[in-house]
Amino acid sequence: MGSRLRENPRRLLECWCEVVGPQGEGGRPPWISQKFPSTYTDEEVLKSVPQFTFPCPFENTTIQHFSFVLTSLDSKWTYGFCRHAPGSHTALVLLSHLPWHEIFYKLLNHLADLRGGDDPGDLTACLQSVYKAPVPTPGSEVTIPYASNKFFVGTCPDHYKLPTIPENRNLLEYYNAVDVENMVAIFASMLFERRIIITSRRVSRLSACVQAANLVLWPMQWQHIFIPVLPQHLVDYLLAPMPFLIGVASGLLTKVQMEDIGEAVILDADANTVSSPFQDTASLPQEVTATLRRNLRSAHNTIGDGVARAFLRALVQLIGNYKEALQFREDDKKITFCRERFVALRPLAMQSFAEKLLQLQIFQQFIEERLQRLNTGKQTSDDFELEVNLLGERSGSKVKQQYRQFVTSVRKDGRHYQDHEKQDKPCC
Amino acid sequence: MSREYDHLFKLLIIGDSGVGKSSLLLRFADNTFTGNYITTIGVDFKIRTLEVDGERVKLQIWDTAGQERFRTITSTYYRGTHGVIVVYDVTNGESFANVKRWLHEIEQNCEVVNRILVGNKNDCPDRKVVLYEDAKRFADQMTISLFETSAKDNINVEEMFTVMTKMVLQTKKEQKDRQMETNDPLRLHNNKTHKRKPKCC
Repeated sequence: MGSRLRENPRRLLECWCEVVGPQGEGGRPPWISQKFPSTYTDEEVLKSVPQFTFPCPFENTTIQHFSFVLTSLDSKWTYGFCRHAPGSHTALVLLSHLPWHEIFYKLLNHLADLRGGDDPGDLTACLQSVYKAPVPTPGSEVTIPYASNKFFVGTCPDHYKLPTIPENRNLLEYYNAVDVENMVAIFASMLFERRIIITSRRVSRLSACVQAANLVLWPMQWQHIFIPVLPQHLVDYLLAPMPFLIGVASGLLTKVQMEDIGEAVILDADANTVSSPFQDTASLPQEVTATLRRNLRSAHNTIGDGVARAFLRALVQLIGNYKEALQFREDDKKITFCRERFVALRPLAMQSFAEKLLQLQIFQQFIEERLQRLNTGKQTSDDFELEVNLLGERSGSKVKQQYRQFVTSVRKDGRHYQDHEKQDKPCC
Repeated sequence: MSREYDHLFKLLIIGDSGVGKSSLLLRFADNTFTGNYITTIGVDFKIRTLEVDGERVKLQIWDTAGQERFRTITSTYYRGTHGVIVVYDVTNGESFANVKRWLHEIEQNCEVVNRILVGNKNDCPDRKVVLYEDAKRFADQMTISLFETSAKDNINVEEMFTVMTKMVLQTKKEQKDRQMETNDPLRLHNNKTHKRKPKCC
């Protein structure tokens, strides 16, 4: 469905690698010198890890963490968390299906200490214990013992909740590097599914900004090409004609002819500038952008989930009324989404944007996901729905009651608990 | 420095995974080693340069992973493209149902003029479930060309890509002509009849 994350990953950690950096220009390309477990044999992934770990030449004066993302044939993401230490010719990498940057960065530091420590057995022991550990509940504390009196302790992020500042490192970096106006600009361009490039001299900033830009789209998720750090040998992929969100090191971008790339939105995360051939921010409904700017600028929003919630509230204004367009189809007892109704029920000023929303893959997948849940008798009660209800109560909407009726009707008919992802008629 | 081609076109190939999109591309593409990245970054492209009516045309054909998860592929996906090659597997009815839906969506919401329908894996009559007549009826209804191909046995692949290339080239020429008419002050009065406002993309 809409999610690019794998459902119920079997383990916390898929694989650990140590990668040796490239040996000068024209020398030996980067390669994996050791990995754990040795039984990990996904060749496609292993082939890519060295190039994604050393995506381009970059300066390394402090310990740098960044993440890359690999997309499999079913379009699901595998995260690669990397740690580059200054002066070291190798980097450490953890592969996981979980988007838990903070705990994996912490684990990387821990592993780096063990690697340089007195007891050479500790590194393997620790990896073994982490590998065998059951997948923790999102948001929980974990303590993983691996030798007598030795533990790895960390907090798992909860990716079902809004990301908070300063805990979420990606959002923190994005918020620090990019000002309100430019965050809104990228948000708007993502809502128009543009071809978007983010550049920086620092790979850690690159990957953080790309990840954060996608985070604030929640409950929608980017459905197109997504490459937080583009390795230099893949630079031609910037010519892709379809929507993308790609992080490109500044040095690499100068090697591409801009005319070959064509119309793209470019955020320079070092200079805090956006260049775009489109007027995406201005094309969003004004009341939405005005509120969003105000919420992002108010001082008390800088810590906690204020930044994420500001974007969420903008999305509630834009798509929160999707429930009003739900209909119950009597003949097969299914809930469907009526596109015409979705547009017609909006205030006049919002109607043209509502039409555009219907043309977005991110919105389409969002609706599909919600319909699937509804048609299998599940109600979604996440932060998004809570905010929608709050807005509904304020405006005295009757939608909530109608929505409950739909869910009850579906539940009454047990036959329809099964998955109906693909329907012949989208609505009406 | 002169460029190695007169025209560069970007095409998309869409269809379920398993219908043989990559095999079609490999059959068609220039014999240069480019690697295969669809399983690592979810996108891949192949290049072929060919000559049509004395002009050198460079084609980039792009493919993305996991399209079957989309009940509809929305118009933003097609925005930057010159043409779409829509592939199903003649031995798989589900793959045909998917492309039918996607083509209806393109028809309704996109200004992608150049489309071509391809029934691949047409090399084992016993296993064929999507009949030519049915596919042809659908293609006619959508006013697009239908090719039944086999990437494995190299049947009809070259022909299909040649027709597609001619189509995109023709479209470009027509656009250019229209532009020249628009820019020509003597013909200003003709503008209105030729102006086409894209529905989207």
